[in-house]
Order: sequence, then C-alpha cells, then structure tokens
Amino acid sequence: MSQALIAEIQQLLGQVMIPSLTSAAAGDDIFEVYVFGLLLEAARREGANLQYENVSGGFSGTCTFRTSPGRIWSQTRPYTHAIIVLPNRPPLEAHLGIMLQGVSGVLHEADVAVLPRSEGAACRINNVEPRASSALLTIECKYYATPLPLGMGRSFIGLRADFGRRKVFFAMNQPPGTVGTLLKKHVEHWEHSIVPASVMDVGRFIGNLQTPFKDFKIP
Amino acid sequence: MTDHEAALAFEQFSALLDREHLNWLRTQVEAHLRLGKPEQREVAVLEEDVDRRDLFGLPARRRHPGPKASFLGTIEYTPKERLQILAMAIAHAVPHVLEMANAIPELLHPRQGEPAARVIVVRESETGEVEEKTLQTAASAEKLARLRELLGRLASEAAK
Repeated sequence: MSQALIAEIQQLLGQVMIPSLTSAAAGDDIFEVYVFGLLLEAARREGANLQYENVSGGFSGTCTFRTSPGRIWSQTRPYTHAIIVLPNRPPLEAHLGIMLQGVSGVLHEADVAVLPRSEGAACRINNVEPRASSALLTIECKYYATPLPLGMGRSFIGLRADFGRRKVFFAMNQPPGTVGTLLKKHVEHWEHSIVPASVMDVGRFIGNLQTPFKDFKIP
Repeated sequence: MTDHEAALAFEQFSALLDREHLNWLRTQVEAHLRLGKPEQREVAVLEEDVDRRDLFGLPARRRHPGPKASFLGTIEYTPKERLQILAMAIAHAVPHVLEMANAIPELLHPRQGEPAARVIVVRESETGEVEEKTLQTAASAEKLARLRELLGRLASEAAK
C-alpha cells in the first residue's frame, strides 16, 4: 500500500476538519436536518409552496431545529417547522424531533414528521402531543459511522407497529448490511446509503417521499 | 496489501483520530470490531437417546451428532477488514457529514433563488441542558470529494 495515499488522507483530514465534527452527535444532527431537507425537496417536486414558522408564530430567517426528542409546543428555543401548502388541500407542517402519540397511547420520538397544520396548531395551543394516526408520514433517521447494530432495525419494526406501518420511513446512511436484510423482510419503506455522494439512492428516497404527497393531493 | 501493512495503517489512523479529536469515532469502530464478524457455520445438532438405561435401570442420556444445520457464529475481523471498516467509518464521520452540511442550505431554501436560511441545531438533554450549534459549511467541495475518494481507495485496497 502506498504511504503517499495515507499521507494525503492525513493531510486532507487536517484541512477539512471543523470543531463541530468532534462530537459523536454531529453526524446524527446534520443527518436529520439533511433528511428534513430531502423531504422538503420531495414536497417541492409535488408542487408545494413552502414557508417557515417558529413555534411562537413568526420567522426571523434563522431555522432552529431540535435534533433530540421534544414537545411540539416547547418554547425553550424558537423551534422552526416548515409549512407545506399543496394546491386546494389543507396545509401541512413538517417538524424535526417531536414526540408523537402512537396507537398504543405511548409517546415516541419522530425524527421527522409531517402533520396536518390543524393538528400542529391544536397541539401548540393546548400543550399536548400530536397523534401519529393523524400524521401523513414520519421518518426515523439513523446515522452511524460503522454498520448499524441490528437492534436499530428491531426497534424500528416496533415503532412502525405503533405509528402505522404504511406511513413510516426508515433512512440510514450506511449500506444495507444485516439491518437491511431484516428490514427488507418486514418493512415497506426503508432507505440506505443516504448521503449526498450516493446520488441514485438519494434520488430514489426523494421519489418515495413524493408518494404520500401525491396521494394527499387527491381529496 | 499484507496483514502487517494493514495493521500498521490501522494504528496510524487510530492515532490520527485522537489528534483530530475524533476519539469517539475510534471508540465506535473498536466497539463494532469487538462484536466480531458474523459467520454462518454448518454444525451437527446433538441428539439425545432418551430410551437407554444404565446398569441400574436409570435413564442413560447419551448424546450423538445428528443432522447438520446452519448456525450463526462470529469470528475476529482480519487486519485488512479492520482497516477497511476504519476507512469507511472515517468517510462517514468526516466527508459525508460535511457534504450533507454543504447540501442543507440549498435544500432548505423556501423558493428558488431565495437566500438560504441560517440553521441552528439544538440538542436538549434529559437533564434540561441545551447544546446549540450553528451549521458550518466551510469545507471546500473539491477537498471533500478527494478525501472521500481516497478513503474509498484505501478501503478497496484493504479488501483485496
């Protein structure tokens, strides 16, 4: 093996490193925002108009996204959600890191969730959590530097049962691996290799995210 | 690449991760390597003779190999496989993350041509602590693509 290859990798690593990458959560946080962006792109391709709003109603031009589980009504920070408007249909809201109530009555975190705007507004006014049954779709995001532990797939299968199997998506950065073998057997919507360099996989994911919006456009 | 070269390169990159404050990545890779590589093995299932009796008339349980079946076991990763896993882990922890950060402003723009919003990411802990970071998109796209390509090449060489 060429020592020159190792030396060039070492040199480039030093040049591109930024302080925020030194935390183990960095990949996870950025991945959730990236997947949220892909979701908005899917809505855009279905003809949606998008705007942003903070939990208190206004928007200053700064998107504040929560990447750990939180309440849709929390005003700890001016958390931002996107408003998605499709022609002649009730508006929707896309959120990051909110708790949703599953069909069992238990609360779970949804990394990304799309809800009717009426559901989001009612929950913010009354300090309660949205119902998963009302969601158009949810996305579970998993960003790992190494192949995903099988437990991630197992817990998603449980979550899917409580959120509604047809509306939940699983997105991971890693290639399929053993988690993929498990998900292929039990899950309808799962995506692997979701990183910008995997143009084909990202394109397929956006296309699959378009389907719920396509269906929603038909009254 | 020989096993010895792969083991040396693994050590070099592990030390580099520590220097770049990416200790968490080394820990994650080591934890994954400790789990071992899954491997299907054909193993003879043992069968017991339950009807046999010993000299005193008590049940004499004797086991003998029965038909073979497929079982899942684990073996240690080879030095080359360890280097391949480390190279891919660095690719996912550095260039892929930075390329996502670079893609986000374009994906979040409300309408074509509008300036991208500033993005703040907030992580709230269960104890109520709040960690806030502004999304940084400083790294050059060419350098990131080159780093990703070189790490891919290193992983391919290790796989040979």
